[in-house]
Amino acid sequence: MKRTEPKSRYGMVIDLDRCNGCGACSAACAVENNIPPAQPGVNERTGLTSMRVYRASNGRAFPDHRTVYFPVSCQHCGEKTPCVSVCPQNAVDVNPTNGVVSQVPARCLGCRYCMAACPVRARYFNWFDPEWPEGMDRTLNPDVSVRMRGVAEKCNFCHGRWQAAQAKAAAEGRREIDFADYVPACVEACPAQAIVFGDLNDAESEVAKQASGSTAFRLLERLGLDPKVYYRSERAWVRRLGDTDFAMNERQAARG
Amino acid sequence: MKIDVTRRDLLKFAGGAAAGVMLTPAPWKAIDDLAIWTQNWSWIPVPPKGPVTKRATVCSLCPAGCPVEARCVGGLPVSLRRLGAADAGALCTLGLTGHHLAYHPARLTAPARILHGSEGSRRVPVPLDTVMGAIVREIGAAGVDRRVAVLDMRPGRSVSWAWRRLLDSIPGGVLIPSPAREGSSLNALEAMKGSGSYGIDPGNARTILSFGAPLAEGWGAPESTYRLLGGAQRDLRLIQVEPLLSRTAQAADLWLPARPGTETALALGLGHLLLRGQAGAGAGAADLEAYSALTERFTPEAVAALTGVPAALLVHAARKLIENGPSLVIAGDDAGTGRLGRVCETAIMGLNLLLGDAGRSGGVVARAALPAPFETGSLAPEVELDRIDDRSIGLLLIDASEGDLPMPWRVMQRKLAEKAVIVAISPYLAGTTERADYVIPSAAYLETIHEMPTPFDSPVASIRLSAPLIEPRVAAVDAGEFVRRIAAAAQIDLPEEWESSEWLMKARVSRIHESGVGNVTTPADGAVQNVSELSSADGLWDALLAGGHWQSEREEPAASPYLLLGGIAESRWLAATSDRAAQLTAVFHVPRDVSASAAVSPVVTKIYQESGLREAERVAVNPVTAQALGLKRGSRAKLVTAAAEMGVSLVTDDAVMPGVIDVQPGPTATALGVKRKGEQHGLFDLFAADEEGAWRSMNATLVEV
Repeated sequence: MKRTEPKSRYGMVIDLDRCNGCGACSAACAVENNIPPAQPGVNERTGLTSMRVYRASNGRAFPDHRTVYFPVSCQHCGEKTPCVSVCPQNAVDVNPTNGVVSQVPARCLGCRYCMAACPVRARYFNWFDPEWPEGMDRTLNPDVSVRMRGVAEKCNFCHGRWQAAQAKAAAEGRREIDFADYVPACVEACPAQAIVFGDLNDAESEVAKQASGSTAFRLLERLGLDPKVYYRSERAWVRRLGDTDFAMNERQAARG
Repeated sequence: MKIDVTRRDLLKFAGGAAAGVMLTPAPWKAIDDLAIWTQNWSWIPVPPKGPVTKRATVCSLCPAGCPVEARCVGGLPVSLRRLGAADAGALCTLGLTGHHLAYHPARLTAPARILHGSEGSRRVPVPLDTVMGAIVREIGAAGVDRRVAVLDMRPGRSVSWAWRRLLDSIPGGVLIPSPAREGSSLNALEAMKGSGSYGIDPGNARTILSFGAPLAEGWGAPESTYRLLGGAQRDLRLIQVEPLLSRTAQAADLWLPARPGTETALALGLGHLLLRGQAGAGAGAADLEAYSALTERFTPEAVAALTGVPAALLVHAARKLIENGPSLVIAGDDAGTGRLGRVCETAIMGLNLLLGDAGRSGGVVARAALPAPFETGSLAPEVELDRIDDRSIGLLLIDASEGDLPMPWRVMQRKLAEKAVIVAISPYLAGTTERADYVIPSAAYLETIHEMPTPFDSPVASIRLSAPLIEPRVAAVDAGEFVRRIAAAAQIDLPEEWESSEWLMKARVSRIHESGVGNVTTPADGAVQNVSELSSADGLWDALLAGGHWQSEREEPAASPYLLLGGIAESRWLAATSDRAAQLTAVFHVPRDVSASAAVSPVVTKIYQESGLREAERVAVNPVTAQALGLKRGSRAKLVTAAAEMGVSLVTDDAVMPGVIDVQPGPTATALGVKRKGEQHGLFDLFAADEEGAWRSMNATLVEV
């Protein structure tokens, strides 16, 4: 069945020339989405980081060496979304109104096909029961349910915030949400305001303008998955890194 | 009609039924339900429910004092964000997870005795009177050769004045501002100007020359980070001096990779160029001739040979400082990483004076002091740690109640007398507090009113109050009340009758109101109200508790002559600029955001454990250095400094200067509140202060094990 083209395409543009790898987006994502802290022995392969920041470089020697940080979350693919097509449980859902790819943990069986299928490796598996230090569960976000061990998860552009914006719009008699009411946690937390979020179909929006600029690019564009997360950089060597498998590089580096 | 049901019929029926069921929703529903049931066990935490409200407060986790809006559910904060205009930046990682800290596993819940042993330390709960008895005993034995000292992690608070009042009544009593705090290099400027109090104005600078200060890594107010990393116009230019491509150096417009320990020579080299390139440079200096003579030999070529920075880059940097003013030069006295040393700081601050930016917006500015909470009579002196005699402190009281700043313990240890008693008042048993003999719990962030006096990077005097949003989880001891109790136990008669820190803060706010000076800004809407328009001190107090920010007016700088060399003997200048090239130098680097805090939210594991973004214990060398030493990435090596030696896992990184070992500690396992493989690292222990009070770099060796 052919997927109908959503009216809106929610997406983001991440300015890599502004990102300095502070990791605030990762921490904000964890706070917003009730992602528990690591358990003993957890590493970069078994951790839960819906927004993960990778460090890359131009590969040159000191003092010409330069680094760049790539915040990588689910890219919200628009075409042939791999995780959707492999899920036997229909636990990956593409919102027909805005194109956001969401995980439905209640349906997930934990087969991890989606993780294998994801080309940017932005899906994570709950290997452990979610645990917070005693009392800290009182700081959990009531808009997001806690996921059980055994299910996959990923970025959903802060679905809880989208629902709150929708509720507000409905209460005010509007059909469309105001993007001032819907700012994903990583966007809000970025101290350099390196992330712009909005509707890519709205030609007047800042996100659409930046995404259509000559310095914008997407990860693994050659796969033709039409991701809705764009990156931009004035530096040509940074743009060339868009074809990199950062997660694999990181794992290889961790193994020495 | 007889129907014969054969075994075959039964099997066919069963097979058909099984196949048919597969065509109904039943099995899929069962799988779905099973998935849901197995996600709803009783031990899975359930987020709280309740009315959602938003409350304003101020972050007290670092001196910047960012205005914060807390989203509360049922009255408890569940998320934090920075209040105010978008161009003011956002909360750092520490700040946006700050609401977790009250529940931190390292929280102190009761006074305790810490028994230090060879196999770690053990905590034994004791009554507060036991701690008080130990304090009183040491006060009774106090003298000039066995001092009572307070290590103040957040100097300038109202309670700091209370400590000084108490210490004044004790022989040899002295208050020591933490040497790990930011902004201590401004003391050098005070010595050069002879009097007055100074601040910096990075908000209005167009060019900043930073000697290692991690501007893009949580240093100072987030506005600076935002301007540096590309605010709307990116109107700030940064020249960064650092031996490795840190995140700040990466964001800089010009990076001067100077060899560690050569910063003084570099500053004098720039002074040499400014004297010749800036009209009227140094005209107000009483020692201009001596300065000119000293810098004569620091030509760009000579400095290039010493520092490794090409002469053309030095000339370019000097030109940028002159042409793209106002320019501000800052020494890298950042939390944890520590100071550059008195001589180096004097050379760096001298550049501000040469640029003529002292007193000018965007440069170094005169700054009024915050009013004291009471009439300042006789007070114990506030003395920098490097001015304290070695082995002279008999009782050390660590006031970390508003935020601990970890530092190499050896820096303090050499000042302690034999069998010195250490008492810490802190919310956590982490960081410096772990070194104490007795610990006393204090309230955590958001549990009580915390005072945020003038930040080091503010051009004017200011105060903010962090309003409590949650009930204290432990029976916390208030520092102001604790000072009073010590006085009572030691039978010291204090002239003032304060009861608590809040009493002291209110007294200070009342004195601000009496002065009628300055204004209060409400961060939510940016509304500004003059203090003189507020009818009572209570009105000012309430405005501050609602997240308001009081700021004084700008001060006119004194036009007094100054000393570019700060009256420091020539021999010390020569020693500081001598070629001390070592084959290997270990450089200490502690970004302010989370690494320089004793306790951080456990979700910081996202950065340090669950991703490869940063290592919890980073010891990195250039691949060229590794090859020369016969070491490979990931190999185990023994890192030896004059202070200590320890086994490390080596990382190779082209961002590090050849010949340099980049030592970057992340949060310790205790700070993260999670048990991690291995025990708390000792990277801090590898460093000790030199004769100038700096611990940023040390000669080292690295051998494979």
